[in-house]
Amino acid sequence: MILDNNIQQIIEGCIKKQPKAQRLLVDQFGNLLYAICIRYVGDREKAKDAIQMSFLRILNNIHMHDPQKGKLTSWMTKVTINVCLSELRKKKLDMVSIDNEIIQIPEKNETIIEKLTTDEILSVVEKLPDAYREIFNLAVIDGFSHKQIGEMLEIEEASSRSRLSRAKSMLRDQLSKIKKRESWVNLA
Amino acid sequence: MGKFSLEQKIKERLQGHEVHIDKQELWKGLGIEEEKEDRKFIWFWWLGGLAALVAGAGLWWFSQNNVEMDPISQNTTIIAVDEQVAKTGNETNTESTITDRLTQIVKEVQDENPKNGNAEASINNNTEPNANTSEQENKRTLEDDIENVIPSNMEQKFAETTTAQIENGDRNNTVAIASTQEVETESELTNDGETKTPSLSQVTSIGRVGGLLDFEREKITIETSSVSMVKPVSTSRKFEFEMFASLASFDRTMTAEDDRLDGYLSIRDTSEVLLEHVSVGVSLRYNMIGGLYSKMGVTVNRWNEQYSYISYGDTTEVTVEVPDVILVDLQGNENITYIDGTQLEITKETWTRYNRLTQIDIPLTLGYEQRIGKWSMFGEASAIFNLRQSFSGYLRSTDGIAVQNPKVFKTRVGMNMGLNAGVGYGFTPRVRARVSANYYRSLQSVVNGDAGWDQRYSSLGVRLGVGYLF
Repeated sequence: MILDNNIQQIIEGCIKKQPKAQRLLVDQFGNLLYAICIRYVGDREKAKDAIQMSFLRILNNIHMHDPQKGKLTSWMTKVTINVCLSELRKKKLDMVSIDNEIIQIPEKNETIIEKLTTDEILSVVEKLPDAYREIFNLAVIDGFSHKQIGEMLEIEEASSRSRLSRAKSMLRDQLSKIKKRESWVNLA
Repeated sequence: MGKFSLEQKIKERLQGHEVHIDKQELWKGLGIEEEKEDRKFIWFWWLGGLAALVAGAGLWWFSQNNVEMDPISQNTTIIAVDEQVAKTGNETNTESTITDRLTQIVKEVQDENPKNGNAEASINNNTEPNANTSEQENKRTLEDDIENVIPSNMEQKFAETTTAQIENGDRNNTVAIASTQEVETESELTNDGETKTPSLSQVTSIGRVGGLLDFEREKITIETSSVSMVKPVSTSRKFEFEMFASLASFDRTMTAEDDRLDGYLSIRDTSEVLLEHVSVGVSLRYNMIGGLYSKMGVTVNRWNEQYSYISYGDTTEVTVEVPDVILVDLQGNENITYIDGTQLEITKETWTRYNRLTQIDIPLTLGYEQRIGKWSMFGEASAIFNLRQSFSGYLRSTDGIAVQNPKVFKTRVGMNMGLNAGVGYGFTPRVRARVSANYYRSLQSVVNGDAGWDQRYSSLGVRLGVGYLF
């Protein structure tokens, strides 16, 4: 657990451009932001580029963080998401038409999710096409409304809803194909 | 409802989820130049280095300025003039030499100071000072007065003489060098057969080198001379100021006092342990009889430690003690299924802890030092009262998550002990350097009692100290 006063000291150090404080910030939040980058970018190597750009933007603009408006983690998450979305904008979004695909929706996916590790769930999300993955992340994981998503991605709300619906369908389909990987070694 | 549950579960699993990334690589990618070391830590090393440098320079200076002199009896005050005349050419210099003029000047100075009129001042042609042990107490004041006056007046008179000579047509160039140092007198037997403690005397020497060019007689004369004055130094030699610095490697013992460290939640040290103990301090030493001495001082200690440990945390409480099935994954996490079907998941984490403990101590010391010529051997034991301490540091897990140490440390008065034994060398009668092996041990836990465990330090290292007797 990271103490609030410790974070405040780190923030103050980062504002003063102290390398040690900046290093602490990277050390403490690197894993969290990297996971976010993976969720949005969908490729671990590209996610490394995204997290670097995110930290550069965070460190250069940390003085703009207002503790009254929210926690540092929330602010950094938003910055990281914006960086990831910008990265996705730079390339042509990987849109897979699912109109012709036959989606089989399993009836009890809830039990599947309980058997998967978090990394496995993340891998499933990673495999979604860019356009659907970013909508799914924004709407389901990070809790943005379709109106906000429409503004962020410069698309219609209806389009956002439509893509989310397709993303969920693809996700359920993928989940149904995954078998639980046994990782335990029996020593008994 | 079903769809909502799935999305909700995915959200719960992924929100806040962390994926390990190589921080060093990430940091390098940012291109930010990192401070090489903690500045708060650097100053401590600089302080120690500076102290060692000053001590070393001091020792060198004293060693350079320490001139071997024959022992001089205590309370004997002599004014001696040493004459050495080097001549060039075959003719003997019949002119009055610088030594002659110095002799004359000394007499003139004595004549000009009526209170010194009865002082016994002898002028000799050798370097062996005379001893005068009669009427010591009565002469002490007069002789001291003479010696306090003569150096300055002698310079003035000599300058006047030289000026007068130049005005009379001689070319006489003289360089004078004066120095003062203390020498230790040898032991003296009293009428009762007891040996008095060696005492100190102050020796003031004025050396001169002069050249005389006599063109009329086509002669060059080079003259050297020196004047030495000795007086006893008033000192009890009972007190000694000492400063020291030490560097040690330390060991740590940790025992659990409650159930939190028993069972699955345990702390076990692993490799890559870095333990350092650095201290600097000053003390005032009082020399008692027979080589015994006592000391009191102030010491600042810094302990740096880095070690790893493995913690096991259970997630489910169980009542059945005999496990039926134990599954261990590659990360070391354990999943135990008991006979009654209860499952216990035990997570394993490897942490690295970085601690820095700063202590201010008041050591009370009792010791014994045996002198053997300029060398000495000593041993001492200290009761060390810990006045103030502060702990800083943090934990870091293998995946790079850093958390601050729990606040289980606080300022409090504690008790520790120290042992110190080594050798000393007297560079001068007042200055003595000592090198010793130093052992330090915590007699109380360095963490609070309510921390849940008892943590103590001990260290063994080398101490370098310099003492000044006054």
